[in-house]
Amino acid sequence: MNLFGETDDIQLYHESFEQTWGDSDPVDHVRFVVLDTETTGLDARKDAIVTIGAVAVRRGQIMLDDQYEAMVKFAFNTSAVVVHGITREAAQEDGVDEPVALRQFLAYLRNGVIVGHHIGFDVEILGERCRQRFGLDIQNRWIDTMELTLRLEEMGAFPGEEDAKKDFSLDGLCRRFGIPPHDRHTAPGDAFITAQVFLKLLRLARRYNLMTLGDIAERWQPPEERG
Amino acid sequence: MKTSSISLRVADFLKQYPPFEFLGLQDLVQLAGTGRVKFHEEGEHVFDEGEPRGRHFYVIQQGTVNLYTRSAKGGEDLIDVRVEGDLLGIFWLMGEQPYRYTAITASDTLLYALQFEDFLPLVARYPAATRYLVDYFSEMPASKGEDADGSAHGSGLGLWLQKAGAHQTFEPEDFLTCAPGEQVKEVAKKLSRHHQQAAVVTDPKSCPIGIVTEADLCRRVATGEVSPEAPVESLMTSPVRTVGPDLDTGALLLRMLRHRLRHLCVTQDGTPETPVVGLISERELQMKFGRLPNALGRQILAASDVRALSRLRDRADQLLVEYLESEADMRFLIDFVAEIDGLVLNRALAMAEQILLDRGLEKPDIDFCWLAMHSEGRKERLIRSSQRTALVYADPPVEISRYCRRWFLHLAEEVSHILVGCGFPFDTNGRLASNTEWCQPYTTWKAYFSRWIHEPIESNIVTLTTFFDLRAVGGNPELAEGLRRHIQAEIKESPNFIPLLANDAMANLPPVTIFRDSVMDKAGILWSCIDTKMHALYPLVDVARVFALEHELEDCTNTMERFERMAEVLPDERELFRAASEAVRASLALQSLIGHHRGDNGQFIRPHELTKSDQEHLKGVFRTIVRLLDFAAAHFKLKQD
Repeated sequence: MNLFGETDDIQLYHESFEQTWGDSDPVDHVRFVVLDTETTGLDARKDAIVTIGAVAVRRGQIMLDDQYEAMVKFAFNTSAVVVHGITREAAQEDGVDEPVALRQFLAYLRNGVIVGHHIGFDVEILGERCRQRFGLDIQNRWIDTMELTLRLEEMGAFPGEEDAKKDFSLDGLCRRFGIPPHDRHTAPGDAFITAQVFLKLLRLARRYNLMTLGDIAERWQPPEERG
Repeated sequence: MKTSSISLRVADFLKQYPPFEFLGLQDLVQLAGTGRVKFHEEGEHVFDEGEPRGRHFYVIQQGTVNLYTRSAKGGEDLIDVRVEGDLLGIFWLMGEQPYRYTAITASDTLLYALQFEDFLPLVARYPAATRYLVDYFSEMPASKGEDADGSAHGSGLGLWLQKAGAHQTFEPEDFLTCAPGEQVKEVAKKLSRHHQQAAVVTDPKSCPIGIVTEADLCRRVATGEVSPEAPVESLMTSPVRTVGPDLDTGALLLRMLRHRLRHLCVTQDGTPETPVVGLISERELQMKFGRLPNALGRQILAASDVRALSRLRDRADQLLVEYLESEADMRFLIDFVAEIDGLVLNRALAMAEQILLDRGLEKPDIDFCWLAMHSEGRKERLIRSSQRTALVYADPPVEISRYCRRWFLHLAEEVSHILVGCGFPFDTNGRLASNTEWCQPYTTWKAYFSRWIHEPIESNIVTLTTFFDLRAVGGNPELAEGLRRHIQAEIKESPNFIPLLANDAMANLPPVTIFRDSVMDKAGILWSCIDTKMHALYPLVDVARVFALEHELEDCTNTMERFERMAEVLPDERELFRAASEAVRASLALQSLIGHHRGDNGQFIRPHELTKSDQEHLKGVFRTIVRLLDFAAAHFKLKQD
């Protein structure tokens, strides 16, 4: 609670980690938050967040009543406009100020395990923005669906294909799993597609006996870096 | 903040499929907003028969799901295959019950799970969605003509009439006008002289100011209320209801019904401010739609040669397609076609007789009856298909029997050729009155039936069942009636006949389901076509025939009518027999409409030629047939496999 008697989003966020999931928790118990952001560029320190889209996955289901979406006001147009299609003007009109969006998002995210394709950058820029705005460090665990795919591939989940044909980009996974990839490059659209891919990966993971959060959250390392 | 891009994507998907296509997008977004997305690998159970229902039902976003029920023998019967956009595990109206079937994925499948408590109130607000669900859940939905809700779209009776195209039959010159000052008795004379029922009272610019009808003369002049010498303006009904020249027939009829008028005045622009161009009477409209178009009938009977006859028969088909497309009552249609074909046959008989007389043959004074068999016998031949005919003549005195045989064979031969000219090909199996075997005296025909009924297996009765659908279409119908009485008497003497016929009636089974572009039969084999005859009409026709013969309904051969009569005979099964009758109607309508459009017999229909709603409709037909066959098997105590 803050001085005005309102629950503080950031405080709520911190409190949610007082009791959270550990490595040994079964996958079905965890609240995953599948996330995508569109940004003004690829420099986590300098660029700004344009949109955030997220949807939760629990017990192997995408929970449509547990989703988040925001457009953020930002200062400069960059060449990334051609990817996500949102101009500064549009964001000024329909967006919310960054601190508001971040607070809301943290209140939504809580201790959810962040999931996304190449999610590292999204986590990095969110962390950077929160640190700059609130001096807050993002505590959430995260799972990169790309890494999960690569690990499953090593276990033999995608047999019978030549290495060259193994396209594990988000578009490639959509093709592989028959998910229509429309609405790509909007944050909510990509989050929803990634969530569908994630459902399939979870199922595959179960087949390879990856049953706990620790099992599926393990990082993938390129063979040449392994000891 | 909660916005809804993801819900919108789900809603966009749902919007492509019924019943969601009938719902507003905003409502769909809200519905999607409380839903879930589930993924199942191939071979997983989505839910099991008997399991209590959850809060959600499903829509398949991607993949295939097979539905099974437990069979009596403990196995599982595949009852349906569901694909993208199909519903799964939904209940409606009948309340929350355990699942009635087991759903197992046949491929990797993504499901949208939506909440009942959000969906049900929503559907209630959209009549089209409600109607779709009524179809979806009923075995045999009410025919589209019956669910009149009086909405502004003009469903119900009006629907097919409105589609019938602009009303073109009024003759612009063929109406009477008079000035307001003319004496009533002068107008009455005009009406009588021109055989008209009404005259339009016009002003000097020919604009209508009133209307005078025969009914006015009876009601007000003959009773002395208005003097015959009075000006007609004191008698006329004014102001007059006017319509434009481009209104369709249905709209005209409805307008008359609404205003309780027998006449409508047609003006140039539909208002009373422009000159009169015609007068339409209710009687004229009813003649067009209420019964056989009389003019066509008269023309057929007066046709001078085969070509004229053939052209008139083509014209009848045009009318038929018009009626079919406008969903006219099927009972009207079958009577219409049977009447037309009856007239054509009688005209052909008269022509043939003349040809024989011209050849110098002498007409024997012996009664005969021309019999229609097969679908024509049942009045179910809505598409011109092969002739299946027979001829029975009264037993002639021995001394002229050879001559009679020759005369009737020649007669039948000529008639058959005329009918070929009218677009009815010869039956490839020679089941024709012009074939000696099927052109026989009364006694021989009776002997035929006796043998078939008493030795059904030896006579290979399966190939002969349609002879039990015989209907007199020309000559003396008493001969046909005599045969029917004989059939009934012989059946009484042969208790094994009906069960045998019933057993044969089980030969054709409807497919289990239709999905994507395939039809699946009970053995799980996929076919690319629905066979309207084997899959739907034959089982219905065969079962109806057995019941009709068992219950001595020998005077009716039409399958719909047979089922309706059975509904009276066995009131406990009324609902089943009515559903069966409706199934016949739907199958016939589908077959003939598609057949007429493609110019073939409409027997094979590819699933993609049907809308999703029509597919549901047809699945309902199949379900009804299965139920009917089950009932028949129990009723005739057949061993079920």
